[in-house]
Amino acid sequence: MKKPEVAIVGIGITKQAKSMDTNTIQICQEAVQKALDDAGMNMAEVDGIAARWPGPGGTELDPGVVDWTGIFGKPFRWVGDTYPQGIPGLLDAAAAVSFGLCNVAIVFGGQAGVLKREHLADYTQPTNEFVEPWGLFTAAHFAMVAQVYFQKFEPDRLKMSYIAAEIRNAGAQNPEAVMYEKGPYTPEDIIQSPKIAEPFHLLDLCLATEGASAFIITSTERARDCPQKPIRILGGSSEWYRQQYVNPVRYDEVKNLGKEAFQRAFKQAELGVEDIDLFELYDINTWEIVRQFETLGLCDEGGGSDFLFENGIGANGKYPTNTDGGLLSFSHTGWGGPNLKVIEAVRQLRGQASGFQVQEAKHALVTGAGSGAQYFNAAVLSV
Amino acid sequence: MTPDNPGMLTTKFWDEARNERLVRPVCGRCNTSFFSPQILCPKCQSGKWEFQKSTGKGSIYSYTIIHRPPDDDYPNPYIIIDVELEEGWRMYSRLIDCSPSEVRIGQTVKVAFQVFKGKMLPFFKVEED
Repeated sequence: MKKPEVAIVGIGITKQAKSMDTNTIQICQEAVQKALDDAGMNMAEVDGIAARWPGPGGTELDPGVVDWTGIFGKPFRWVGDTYPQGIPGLLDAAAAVSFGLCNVAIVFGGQAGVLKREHLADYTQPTNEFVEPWGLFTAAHFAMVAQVYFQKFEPDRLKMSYIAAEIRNAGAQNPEAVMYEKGPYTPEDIIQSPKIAEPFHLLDLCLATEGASAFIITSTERARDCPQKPIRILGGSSEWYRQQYVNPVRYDEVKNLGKEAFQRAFKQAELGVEDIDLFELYDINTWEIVRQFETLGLCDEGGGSDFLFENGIGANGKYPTNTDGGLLSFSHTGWGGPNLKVIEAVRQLRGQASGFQVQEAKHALVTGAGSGAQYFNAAVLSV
Repeated sequence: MTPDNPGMLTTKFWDEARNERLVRPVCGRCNTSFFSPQILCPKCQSGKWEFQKSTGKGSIYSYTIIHRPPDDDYPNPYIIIDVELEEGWRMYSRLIDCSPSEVRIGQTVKVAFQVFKGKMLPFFKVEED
């Protein structure tokens, strides 16, 4: 494997909120325009698109389904029907540019006008006939994986809660986070929040919010003429274990999900985990952060909570993690939510963080999904 | 990809459930029990499988206690379980007639059919030793 000669040259992010008085297409278009402005480009130059095709609205030919060529009034050379967005979208687009299928690819996603307050988001409740009758939802799948870990290793609940508190406190200081000024939280606050799906409490779990984000990928050669510092995509890999949220997902089968993806991503990047300055990890719940650090090999299975508590994951910690407030506090916009990890990594590496800024960060690790989803992906980004 | 007739794989499962029989697909070639029903056996990719009756006995691989029910038909809290059946297959279900403080990983359970939202469903109960 050789290092790909591709870079992220533009990012765009709209306002993020619990619910918005607009629609998915408009909010996505807004993010696209911001990314184009950031890259110093216009849509005429974009010839690749990964935004779910022909979605959002589903891939069936139902009324209301989006044809992005129709929205943007132009044809494309490359179309990625990438689900979800985030790292799979990033890597697909990087591959498309590397192979010459397109010169400039835009990856975007988000949602608006779809979430109703006080209700679980529809997309977290699959309608599968062997799932729905039991009252299962996304957090419950993850909870059943975590429960086995909790029984086996009996982690210190207060130390694990430090992780949620620290990530949420980063969001509380970030004016762009949905949960801005919500906090600060102590580990005790996390444990004292209502139980939702044991072993998880309310403050252990990610948000379901609205907003959109976009990023633009092109060759390092073209990137030299863009106004922003290019952020290189040095390596990345994915693991697809099973279809998500249908068949029972088991701790013993998915506990190391991501291990191989990490190894491949680091090998391609010619870096090791010790070179990473910034961890933008998929924090669908507190425990997934612990599992990912264990899978990275930085600590033993069962020892992640103690390890992170002792080393620190905040602004002054050894492993700055989810610096924008993460999915717990910044935002999680459904199928477009995984993009937010890439956006925050780019902002940090450029020195343009909206929340706290990690000084002189050079290499970032970004991840997507996790054990309960039965797939995982990782990428290494660099200035 | 969805099968041409999405119901064809699972109709028999629910027909049998109405008669309080728990069934699972068993491969005609390699004898593997699997769940949920899918077109090909996950072990040998044979399309020749049939539903066979399960003893309905198994153990709890994992569980979660839910404190935020989707609607008023659910008790609060309720217990979702991942059951490992005797024949080596597994499914999600709900544990009923059990106090949340008494559920444990590894507990022996047995299927217990009950109507929920107008449909006969295979719930599970703790099996006393």
